[in-house]
Amino acid sequence: MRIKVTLVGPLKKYLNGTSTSVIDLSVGAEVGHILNEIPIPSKWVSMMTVNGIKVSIDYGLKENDEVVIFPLVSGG
Amino acid sequence: MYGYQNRILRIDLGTKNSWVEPLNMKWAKAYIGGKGLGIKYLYEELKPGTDPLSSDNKLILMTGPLTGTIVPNSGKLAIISRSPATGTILDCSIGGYIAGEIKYAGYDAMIIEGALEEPSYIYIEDKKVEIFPAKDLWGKGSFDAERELLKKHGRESKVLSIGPAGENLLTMSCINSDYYRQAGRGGIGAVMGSKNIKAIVVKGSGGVKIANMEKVLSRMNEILRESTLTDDNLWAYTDGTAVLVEMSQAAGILPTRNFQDGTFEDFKSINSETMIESRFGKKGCYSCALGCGNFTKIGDAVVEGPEYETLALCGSNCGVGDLKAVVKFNQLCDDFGIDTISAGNTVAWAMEMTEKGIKDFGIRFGDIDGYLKMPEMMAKKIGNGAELSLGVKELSKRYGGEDFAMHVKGLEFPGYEPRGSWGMGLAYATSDRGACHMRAWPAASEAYGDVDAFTIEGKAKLVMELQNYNAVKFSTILCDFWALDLETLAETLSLITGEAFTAADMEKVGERVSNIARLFNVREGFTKENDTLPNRLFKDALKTGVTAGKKIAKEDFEKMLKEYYELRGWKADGTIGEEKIAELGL
Repeated sequence: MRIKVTLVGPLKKYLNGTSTSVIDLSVGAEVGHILNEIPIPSKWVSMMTVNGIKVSIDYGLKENDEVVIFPLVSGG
Repeated sequence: MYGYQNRILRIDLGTKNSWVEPLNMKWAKAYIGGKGLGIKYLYEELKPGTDPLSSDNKLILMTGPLTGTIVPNSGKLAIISRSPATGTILDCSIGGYIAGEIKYAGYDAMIIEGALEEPSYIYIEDKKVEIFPAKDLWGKGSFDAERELLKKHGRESKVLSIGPAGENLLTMSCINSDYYRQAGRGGIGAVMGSKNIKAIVVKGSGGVKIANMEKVLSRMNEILRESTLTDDNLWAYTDGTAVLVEMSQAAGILPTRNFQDGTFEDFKSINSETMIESRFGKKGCYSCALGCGNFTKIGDAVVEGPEYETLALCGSNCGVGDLKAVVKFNQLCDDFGIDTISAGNTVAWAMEMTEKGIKDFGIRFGDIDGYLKMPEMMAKKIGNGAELSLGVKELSKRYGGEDFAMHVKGLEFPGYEPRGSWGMGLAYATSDRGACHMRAWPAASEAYGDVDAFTIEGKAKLVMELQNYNAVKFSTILCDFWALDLETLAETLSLITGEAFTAADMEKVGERVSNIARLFNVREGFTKENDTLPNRLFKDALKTGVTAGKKIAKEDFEKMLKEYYELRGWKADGTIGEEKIAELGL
C-alpha cells in the first residue's frame, strides 16, 4: 500500500535530505515498520503521527495514510 | 578550582560604591555556580519578607566555571532575585553573549543591591565600574537602548537592558540582551526597574584559566561530536523550538483559546514548516554548537524567533492562526520588555472573560488588531493595558475567572497542556518559581514519547529526577538544549576545573540545589497550599484530538503531590525538616 512519509528536522538525512517520500508497504504493515524500511534508528525517533494524530508504534496502517516521524527534542 | 575567577563584584547603588571580594569556594564546591550558587548567595544574604521591588532586594548575575570556555553551549547567564510576580525564589537563564564577557571582565558574579535615585546604567570594563545617567534612554524600547549603548561603548560590549515594561515595574517584565534574548519570567525586569537601572554594559579583556588546555581541547572536541552534535540535539539547528507546534498538536497538548482545548485548527499557520518559509538566518549564542535561533521576517514583522512558547501562548492560545501577527506580537514584546508567555496567557484570559461576558476587556479570541495593540498598552499601562499588565493572578482576584486563570503562584502557564501530560501538572505545581517547564519537562516522554500521559504512576519520581537534572545543569551553567548525561557533565566539569567530579556528585548537587530553592520559598511562607493547579484542569475536559475527554482528577493530583513530597524527603505540609537540611548541608 502507498504510504506518504514525512521526516522532520535532523531525520531528513535518512531520506537523503528530502522531507517527504511515498513508500510502498505490504498490507497490514504497522507504522513502526517504516523505521525498518527507510531505515531510521528508532533511538532517534520521539513520536510518529498518522494523519495528524499521535499513534503507538504498532498502529496498523491503511492505504494513503500520511505518516510524520519526529526527532527527539531535548529541553523546552 | 580552575574555571572560576574567584572574584565577585559587589555594587551598592545607594552609595554608588563597588568592591571585589573572593568567591565563597566552599559554597562553589557544593553548588557549582549559576542557579545553585546564585540561590545560595541570595538565601544567605536576603532577609525573609523583603519586598522584591524594594531597594533591599538583590540582583545577582551568576556565571559558572564552564562559562567563557570552549565547552559547547556554555554561553548562558543565571540571573537570580526574589520574584516580583510570585514572591518565590527566581532564577532566570539568558543567552546571547554577556555571560562570557562577565568572566572576561574578571568576575564569576555580580551582586547588585540598593537602588539609584535617577534612571542610570552601569558600565563595567574589567576593573572599572561606572554609573552613567540614563535619562535619555529611559522610556525607550530595548532595541534602541541596546543599539545606542553599543554605539557609545563599542560593538564588543555586551548589554543587558529593560524596556518600558521593566521601568513601569510590570510583574511580567523581562531583561533583554543581544536584542532578542531574554531573562524572561517572574518579573525579573521589574527588579532592575525598581533599582532605576536601565542597562548593564560589560566589556572584558581577560580570559578564563582552565586545568589542562591540551587535554581540554582534544577531549572537548570528541565530546562535541559524541554528545552535542547528535540527532537528539540537532532539532535545535534544523528547526528550532517551533518543531514542537506540530508535535503538541498531534499529542493534543497545544494550548488553545486560554487552555480550553489541546488542538488548534490553524496550527499549520504557526508551525516550523511555515516559519522556515520566512526564515532568513540562523543564530547562536556564545560558544553555542547548535544555533537554535531563527530570524523570521514577514513584511515589517521581524524577530529572532518566535520560540515554541510564543507560538503557543501568543498564537493558538489567543486563537491567532497567523504567523505574521505572532512575529509582530513577539517583536513588540521583546522591544517593550515583556515576557511573551505571561503576556499571551493574560491576553487569552482577557479574551475569555470578554467572550463569556464576565468582564469586557474589549478583546476576543482571534482579534489580531486588538491583540497587536496589547504589548505597548500593557508596557505603558494605557487603557485596558493598565489592568492587563497585572497578570492573571491579580486580575482574577479582582474580577473572577479564577478557575481559568492559568497560573501557579502568580506565574502563568507555559505551552504544555497538563490534562494531556499529567506529570506536567506536578511539574508546574512544584516548580520553584511558579508554573514553569524549565525545572521539569515530563512532556518530552509523556506527550512526545511512550510514557503513559494519563496516569500518576511513576510521575513523582520522573518529575523529581528531571528537576534535579536541570538544577545541576543550570548550575554549571549549560544551555537546556544540549541533552548530555550526568557522566558527560561530570567529565566536562572535571576537565575544566581540574577537580574530580562524578555522576553521583552531579546527582547530589542537583538534589541540593532543588532543596535550597525550596528552602528559600519555605522560609518565605510557601507550603503545600501553594503547590496547586487552576480548577480548569480538574473540572473541564479537553475536547478534541487524542486528549479529548481528558482532565485530571483532583484526588489523583493530590496523590501525586503526596508521593513527590515523600520521595523528596519533605514533610507532608511541603516544608523541609531539619534532618534533610542537615543531610544536604544547606
